[in-house]
Amino acid sequence: MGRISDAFARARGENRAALVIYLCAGDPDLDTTVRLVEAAAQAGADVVELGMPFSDPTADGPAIQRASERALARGTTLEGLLGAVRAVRARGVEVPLLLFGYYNPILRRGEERLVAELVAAGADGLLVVDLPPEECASLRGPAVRAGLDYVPLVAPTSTDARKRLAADQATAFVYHVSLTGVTGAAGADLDAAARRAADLQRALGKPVAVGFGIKTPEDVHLVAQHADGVVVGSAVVRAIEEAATADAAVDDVRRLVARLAARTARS
Amino acid sequence: VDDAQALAAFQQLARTEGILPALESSHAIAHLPVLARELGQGAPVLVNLSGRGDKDLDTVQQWLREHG
Repeated sequence: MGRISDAFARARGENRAALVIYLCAGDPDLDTTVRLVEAAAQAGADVVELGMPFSDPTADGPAIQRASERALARGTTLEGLLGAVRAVRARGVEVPLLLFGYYNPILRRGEERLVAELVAAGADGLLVVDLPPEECASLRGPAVRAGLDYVPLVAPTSTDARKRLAADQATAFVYHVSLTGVTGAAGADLDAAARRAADLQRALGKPVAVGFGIKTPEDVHLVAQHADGVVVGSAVVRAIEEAATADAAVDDVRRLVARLAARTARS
Repeated sequence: VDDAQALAAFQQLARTEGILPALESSHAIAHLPVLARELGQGAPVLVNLSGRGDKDLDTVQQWLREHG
């Protein structure tokens, strides 16, 4: 079992949901990203999703779009992101790191090459938003063979057959998208999404995390009652955007993650 | 540009760039070789991918099952 599965198993053992925190690599800069990962881990994040900034993040709402734009404007590259992963590990931070991104930069770099680089840097898994399950073998195969986890997404509109396919491909958990929309969207029925996740977990036999539209400690509490994992992204990215300095961003993220982590218990 | 050409262009961009274009934009990609020939060697051509194709996947898969 990898670090991500360990984190989910540990959370389950503590009768709570695993807290997954999304950060966009390079926002506001890669040095700060390293400190943000450390702060999130210390404040109680069980897994950190590290976003690969991309020019056309079609699944992301305005907050993460802006974060991607800021990161790209600063010249963030996949190379730089790998350096940040190495720097996180060099600081002794062992939080599981799940790379979250789009397929174009992965294909351009070379799938097997990137897999080897991720393993060497100390990353734990991959989540590729726009790679359909029917087409993922050329990336998933090398990734899983090299010991990386592969996390597929299912949407409320996914058919049973595609949910089954996603579960078969998932090695650590399945990411259940709460709504038919983009990250950070308002109006998700989180209680219903969390219940769907629990049904999915029972049907598929793999842990299921819920993401998209989960912003507040109260949202986390709601989802944690049923789901194995809770993903918070846009709210964290927004806190970074609103901070006046990099130091303030690190402090604010630490405080926000601690407040979210305090509400992961099943009551 | 007919459906077969647009769908071939869709698959070509997915395989070469890892980008899923919208079906509308796939027509533009399909027309690109014709346009490029007309404009001649060295002419700069900018393609506007006006939309994303992940929302069209069901349509694409069904078409490929029936015609591919």
